[in-house]
Amino acid sequence: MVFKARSLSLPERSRFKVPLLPIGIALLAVAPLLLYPVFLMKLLCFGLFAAAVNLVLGYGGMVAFGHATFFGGAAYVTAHAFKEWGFGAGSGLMIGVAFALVTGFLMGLIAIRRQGFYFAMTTLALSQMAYFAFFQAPFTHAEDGIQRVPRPNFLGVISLSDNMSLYYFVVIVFLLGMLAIWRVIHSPFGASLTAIRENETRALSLGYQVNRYKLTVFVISAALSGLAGSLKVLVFQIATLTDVSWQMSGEVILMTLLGGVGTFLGPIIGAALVLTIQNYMASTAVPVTIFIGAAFIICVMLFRKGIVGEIDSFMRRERVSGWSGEEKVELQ
Amino acid sequence: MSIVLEARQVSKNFGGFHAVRNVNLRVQEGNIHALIGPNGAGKTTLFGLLTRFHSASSGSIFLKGEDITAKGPAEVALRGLCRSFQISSIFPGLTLRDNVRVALQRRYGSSHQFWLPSRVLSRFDDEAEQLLDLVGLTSLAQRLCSEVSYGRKRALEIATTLAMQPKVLLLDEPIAGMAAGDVPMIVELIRSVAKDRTVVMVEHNLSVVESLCDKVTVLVRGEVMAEGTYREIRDNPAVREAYIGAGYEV
Repeated sequence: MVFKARSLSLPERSRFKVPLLPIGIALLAVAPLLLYPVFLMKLLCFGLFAAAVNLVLGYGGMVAFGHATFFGGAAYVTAHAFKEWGFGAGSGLMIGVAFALVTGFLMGLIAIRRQGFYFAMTTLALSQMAYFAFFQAPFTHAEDGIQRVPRPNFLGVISLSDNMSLYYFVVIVFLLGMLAIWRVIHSPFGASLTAIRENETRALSLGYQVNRYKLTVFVISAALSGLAGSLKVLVFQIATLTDVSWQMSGEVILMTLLGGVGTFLGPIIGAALVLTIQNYMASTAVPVTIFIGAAFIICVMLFRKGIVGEIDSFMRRERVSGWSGEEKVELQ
Repeated sequence: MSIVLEARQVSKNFGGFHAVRNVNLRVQEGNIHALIGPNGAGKTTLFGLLTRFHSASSGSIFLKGEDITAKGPAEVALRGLCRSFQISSIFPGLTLRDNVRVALQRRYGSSHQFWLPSRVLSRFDDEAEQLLDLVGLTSLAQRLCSEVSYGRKRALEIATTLAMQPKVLLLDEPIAGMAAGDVPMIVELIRSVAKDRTVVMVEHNLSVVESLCDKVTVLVRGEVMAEGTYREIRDNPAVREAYIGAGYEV
């Protein structure tokens, strides 16, 4: 089971270049005037989480079912650091990221030796082991979770206690996380990763020690998932078993698939879609999972590449149809 | 001339099936060395063993005197033993130029840099263009590989392999599946790249073998049946029988 990103070589990417950063910053700046800031912060946390998973799923071509360990594990560690050790916002986030990074390295070291279905099952099994470890660990308070986590200041002076200041802090961390993902994708390493995903055997024959590249992207993805989990604690002031459960791993994959695997913005769009359904359909008599399931079925039936993936494909088709007859003959 | 690649008593078993059995092979530096034999003779398996894509059940493999039996395929490639595949093996979602750049960035050791922008790869563009020019693909450099014909994919595979500047180039049926018109171009290409390196090739087209190769090894049922120049092999009755059966004349 391999998910392939829509591979566009560098010149083609630049053809459809959109000033994403200024548009994104502008939208994020005005969004809390129109929507509930806590909902927006939740969207940003899960958008970052889905984008981190997409690094492994879309760009690495590996289906990992264990990212809840990094997301939820970092949430627990950050919550404990805030509540029991009195950490500040910055250091609390960093210790969460460090936990996810180390856990990701250990999980990756074991799982990366397997491919496809076996890789997915290994990550799921390790994730379930982590789930039970968190369930048993005294500091997590089992089913109660860590509640009433304080919101510490950032750098000791910037208060994050009100939702608007916290929102802009979350926006900055989210943008830094997305910039890190952008850099990884559009780097020599990203090109290597694309090559490995496209044809692993050929990459091996050209001297690529593919497991090292896979492990590197897995660890980066785990660290960014941890950042999203730590950020979530800051917003909701709670860390629970839900964050480390296999359902969380499945849900974030669903978000990525709906938005578009292997696209930069797809996971954010997918996260927004799933969270919007959850938020606005939760009050209806029909269970919210029915709506999410229906959205997934529609996605599979009508736009398998996800929302952004389909738009991307449409633009590529337009480009090919614009070729002259001579260019088409030349390819034969 | 010195021996650049050597297999000593190499065997490969898949369960109870002996794909390669006690093969001894000595490839001289600067030669074009052909491996021929009927289908199922073990030629591609032997290629896999030499490039470490398969691990040997027994025996040893040496590259320039260094024992590479325990090395992985990537390590062997970085030591200068690079291969092409029987079925064209490229990166289909990348452009032709990016295919070559993938090899170049590995050779120059910049493939791990996740902190640098991908535009730094443009420093490989000139070399990539030269390699594409060598195989006549310059005009298609910006096209996706999935959009070009099979023959051009094969040519691209050779260009990508050459980007690694291999000391020993292993070509697995380089003209298989190519249009007849494209064959002379690939033959000339192999001849030109062999001027400063050793080439080992599996090939069924005996006229190509005759025109290119200094030495020929014949494999039959996983074992070396004969070895020598093309003329010596052609006149060997056992080889004739293995190819076309007893009682027939070529």
